[in-house]
Amino acid sequence: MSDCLHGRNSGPVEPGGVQDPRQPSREELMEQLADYLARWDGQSDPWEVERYLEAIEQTGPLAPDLDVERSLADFHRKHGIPSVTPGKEKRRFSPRLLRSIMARVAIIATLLFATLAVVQASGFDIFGAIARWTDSQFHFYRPDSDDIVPDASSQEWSSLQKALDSYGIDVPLAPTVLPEDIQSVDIKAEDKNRSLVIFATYILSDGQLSIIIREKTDIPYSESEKDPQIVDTYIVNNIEHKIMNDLGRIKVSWSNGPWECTIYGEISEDEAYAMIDSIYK
Amino acid sequence: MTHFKKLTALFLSIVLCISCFLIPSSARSSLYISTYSAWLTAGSLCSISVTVDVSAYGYMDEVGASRIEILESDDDGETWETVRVYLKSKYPEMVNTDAWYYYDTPVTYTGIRGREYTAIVTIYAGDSTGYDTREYTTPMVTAHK
Repeated sequence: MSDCLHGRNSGPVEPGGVQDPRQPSREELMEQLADYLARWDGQSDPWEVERYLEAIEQTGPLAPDLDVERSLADFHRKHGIPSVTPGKEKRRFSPRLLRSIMARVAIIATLLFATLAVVQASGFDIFGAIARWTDSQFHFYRPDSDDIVPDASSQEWSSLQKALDSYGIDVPLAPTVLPEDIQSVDIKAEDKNRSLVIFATYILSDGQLSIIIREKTDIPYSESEKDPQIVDTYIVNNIEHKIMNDLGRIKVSWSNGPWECTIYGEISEDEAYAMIDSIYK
Repeated sequence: MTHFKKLTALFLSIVLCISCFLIPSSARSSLYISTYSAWLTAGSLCSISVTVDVSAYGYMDEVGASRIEILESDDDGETWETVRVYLKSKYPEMVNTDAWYYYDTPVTYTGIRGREYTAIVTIYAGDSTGYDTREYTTPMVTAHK
């Protein structure tokens, strides 16, 4: 019954399999289809209906106002065939197909990660770069893009006060009295990220004296190593001068406005007091 | 004998507790390091510059920072992740040789806009007689464009 319409190139053929020398009309084919459906027991070839419909279609163009969807719905309703909405049709994959898809995904993922690993091993931090993609702007980022800030040139002065003057610092910071037998080595200034620092180096008969004047505006104050006890808090000119001891060395620390000052070395406490007094005279 | 053991255990416990308090106070003194500080500066294009300021007791073979660890946070400082470590063995600019002070900006790290950064700087000063170190944590800064 399935090959009933094979000769349709030569004209419509009766679905019943008997060659009809006369070309059946649309109405005859419609009647035959109706008879076939009336006799349909649910076991016959369901595609036979499709063949009838093709044969009917070849008899002439369909009516221009024919609504195919509506007609199909009417057809289904008339013959009690449940309609199937194409968008809601659930496709079921066979386990073999699923295994095949999963195997392909696994191979692609393995190849991708193997490639990334080779790139990473070659020295390019691809995983780091991927991590940076979460930033608001896309850019590749190289963690090694550091630059060494070149050393700033330093000036030298013959005295600490001249160094302060050259920077226009009129705050009393430099002691005018120094220990005996002292020798000035150098006085240098460094101006780095937001902070000027002046270093004064002196040589004593049995050691060294260092004076450091640091500009502290929005940067942290220095940590100062010392023995647990503070020797004295010496107030001069309404400024507290902390006199400390650190394993036998005397250290004086105070601040005046934005300036943090430190004097330390192999000096006596008396010499420290004298130096503090001389700053404000 | 049991009583003696109990007394010994108590004595050792007390010594252990006292030593815990003594270690920090003795660590405040140094034969080599006098003063130190460090801070970060957030520059343009997300640059984070580390400035180190160290003074030593006299001329040292090396004075400066032996290690600078950059830490990054993307949750306002709640958690930190180390993103870079600089060592003086690889970056000789981190120390001055034959000097009694170090004041420089040896490294600049390129961060990510909007993230916070801090650094743990290991201060170093040493000569032929030995050396000393101190750890210093900088205040945090935020990288910006």
